[in-house]
Amino acid sequence: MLSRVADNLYWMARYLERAERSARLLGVQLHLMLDHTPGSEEERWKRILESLSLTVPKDVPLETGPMSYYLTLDPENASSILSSISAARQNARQLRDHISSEMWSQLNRLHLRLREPAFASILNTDPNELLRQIVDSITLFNGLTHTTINRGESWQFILIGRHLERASLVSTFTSTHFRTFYKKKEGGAVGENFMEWVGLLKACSAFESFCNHHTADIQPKLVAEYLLLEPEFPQAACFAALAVNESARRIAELNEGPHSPLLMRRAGKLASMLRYAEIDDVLADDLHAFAASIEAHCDLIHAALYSSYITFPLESAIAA
Amino acid sequence: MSTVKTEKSDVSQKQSQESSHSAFDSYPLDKGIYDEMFVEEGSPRKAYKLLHRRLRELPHEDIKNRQQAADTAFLHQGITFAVYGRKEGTEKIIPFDLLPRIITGAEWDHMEKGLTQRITALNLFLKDIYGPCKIIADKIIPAELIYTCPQYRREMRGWRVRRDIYVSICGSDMLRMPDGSFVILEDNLRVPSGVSYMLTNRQVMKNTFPGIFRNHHVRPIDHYGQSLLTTLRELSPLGRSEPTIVLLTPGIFNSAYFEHSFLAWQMGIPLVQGQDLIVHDNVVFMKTTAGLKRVETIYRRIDDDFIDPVAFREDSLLGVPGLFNAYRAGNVNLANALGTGIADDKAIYAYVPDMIRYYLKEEPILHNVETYLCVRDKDRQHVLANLDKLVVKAVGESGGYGMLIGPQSTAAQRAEFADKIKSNPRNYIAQPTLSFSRSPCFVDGKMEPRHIDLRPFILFGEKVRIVPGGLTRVAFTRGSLVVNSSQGGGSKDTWVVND
Repeated sequence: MLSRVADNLYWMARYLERAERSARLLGVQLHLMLDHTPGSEEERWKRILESLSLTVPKDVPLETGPMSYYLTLDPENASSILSSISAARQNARQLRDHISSEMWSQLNRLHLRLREPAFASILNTDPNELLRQIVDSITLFNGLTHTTINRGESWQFILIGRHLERASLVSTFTSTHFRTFYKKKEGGAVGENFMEWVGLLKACSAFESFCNHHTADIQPKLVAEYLLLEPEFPQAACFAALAVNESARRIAELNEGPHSPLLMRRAGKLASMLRYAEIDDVLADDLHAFAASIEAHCDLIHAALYSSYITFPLESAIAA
Repeated sequence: MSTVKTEKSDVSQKQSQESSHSAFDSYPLDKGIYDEMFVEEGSPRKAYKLLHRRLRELPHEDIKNRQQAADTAFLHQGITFAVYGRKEGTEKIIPFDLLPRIITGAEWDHMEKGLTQRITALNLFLKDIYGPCKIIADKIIPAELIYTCPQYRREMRGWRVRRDIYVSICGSDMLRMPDGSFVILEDNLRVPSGVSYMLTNRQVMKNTFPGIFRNHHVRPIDHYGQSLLTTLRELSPLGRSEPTIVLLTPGIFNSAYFEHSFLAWQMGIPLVQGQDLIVHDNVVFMKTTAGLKRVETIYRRIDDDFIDPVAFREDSLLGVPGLFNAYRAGNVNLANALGTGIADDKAIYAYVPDMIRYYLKEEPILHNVETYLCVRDKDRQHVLANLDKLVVKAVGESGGYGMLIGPQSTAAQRAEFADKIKSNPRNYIAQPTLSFSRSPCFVDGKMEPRHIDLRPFILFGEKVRIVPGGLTRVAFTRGSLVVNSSQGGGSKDTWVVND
């Protein structure tokens, strides 16, 4: 497979994962604002931006109307959902010979839909409807991907992109949330912020699954464990890291060649870290440092993927 | 392709036989212009009779809905082209007209012979001009006309390309004259585009009007991708049966990017950009996740000037450094060859009939449009005196740019062109303003005549392969003679039907 094609597949998947997670987070947060909750609206928007690793924009007021637009449909914001979808489509345009026509057409339609004036007007009247439509579209795209793509390299580069982005996002969501709502000294009780904890789980599409697993008795420790260390739940960082590891192994297998085992080492390191960590240790120590370490590992895996398969030094390739 | 109408609804329309008025009411005919559908008012040509009757039976609303469905299909599938000079990434669909253009089997068979003759002569010309130059020695074509052409590549002198095939992919533009005959307006021998629209028009047509389509026994065109692949395989430098063939595109901001990805996908070959290729020891490789992989044939959709910054324009970021040397070393083949632009220069065009007589000892089957070369004194005087009647074209331009259409021009424009012609006569030719054929098109809810041309696509490998028909382009602006998509032109499906 062309290195550039691998790169396009990887980024298409990352951008889509990011768009979907942003839409879900935003939907949950807008919902939470309907209830009377302690803390100011401004603080909430700052938290949302931080969850998405974004800085506070200078010229956009921290209020529901402007911020919703900024995060969804603002073409000037390179991290808005619209921009993420455009970027995913830009990558997909270079993959027309690798992805199915159904996949392409679905993504193209979402891209066009986001730019319709009629669609933007829904943002004012019913933002949750707009976000739901975006999530549905992406879900449909993922389903088409699942049913139409060859399970060779194309699939593995999509999976590794999707799961790397997911591992990184879910740990940032969790860490940002804990910074505000986890009261260590008070024994970590949920207290008056019960809805916020439900919100965190919902933003990670984990609420129902969590209740199934642990009942609705929401304890911060169990939430952290479920979102970071649960190996069987697809939105959890641990599950994502195991998937990254598996894809790294498959990619190496499919490209028997002189590549360094760097990618496999790094992917394996993150997977074991999350597979064998104990939540009591994480909380006793420092959850934020733990989350930061997950992100740092994600960056290292990205760098290894690039140096092994995408921007490898030509001298070594010619020598081989 | 999404099916936009079911077969059933297509048939059920037959019931509503007599709608109160026909879509062709008040459709104007002009004595001096050949109408593709009508001989005279109310009486369609034989090949169009069935289509005409079916269209009259269809309620107006229905045609409109189908047109909308077709437009949506193009947009959703991203069958678009990029418009230059606007914000980066502006994509537009090429307006598609629902009504097919019909060519009879007999007309096509004649055309096919003529096109085969022409491509054969043009390839012999290129072989000669980059070799012994007999045609110059024999004073058929003046030497200075060749050497002053910016598309002439000295680098190609003195060596032979594989199988002596310079042009393996050609798209010739043809017009139908008032007497019903076809003439050649120009040959596109560099990187002709449009074939993807021919193929997608057909797919959309089949989905939109399945019932009408089925009854016409239209000659199929869907094997184009396979024919192209076979042609490219025949050009492989190592003569291996499974050579690595790639399609080289300038990238997603190129106006024809859709076509590049479409063709690569149809042929099942990698679509590469300049950055994906590397030349080492005069061998071309592509960068893959498994390391470097050798490339043997490149169907390149990048112009000569931009293909190799070492050999040609050094500011090109699209090309592959060192590609030309690998090409000359015989380690990779390019389709089309470099330097083919000399043969579709609009001044050289005037000599194609002479080439056919000279190389093939045959009379041309298809005729040229009368052409005045401003570089000849007598021609230039005639052109300058008749600017208001002629169409003036810059010899190296394409896409409808750099043109003066005399009868539709202002005095200021004519003065501007007169100056240009005087200061650089070699760069201009002129042709009479042609009254080429019109075809009914569905415009703003009714049938109106619009000028159309035809671009058949010719492949030259071990033998000549032409899929029946080609791309029919439409000048959608009323009265306009410019069919280029960059100038607001559209297209139609083109049917070759057996008589």
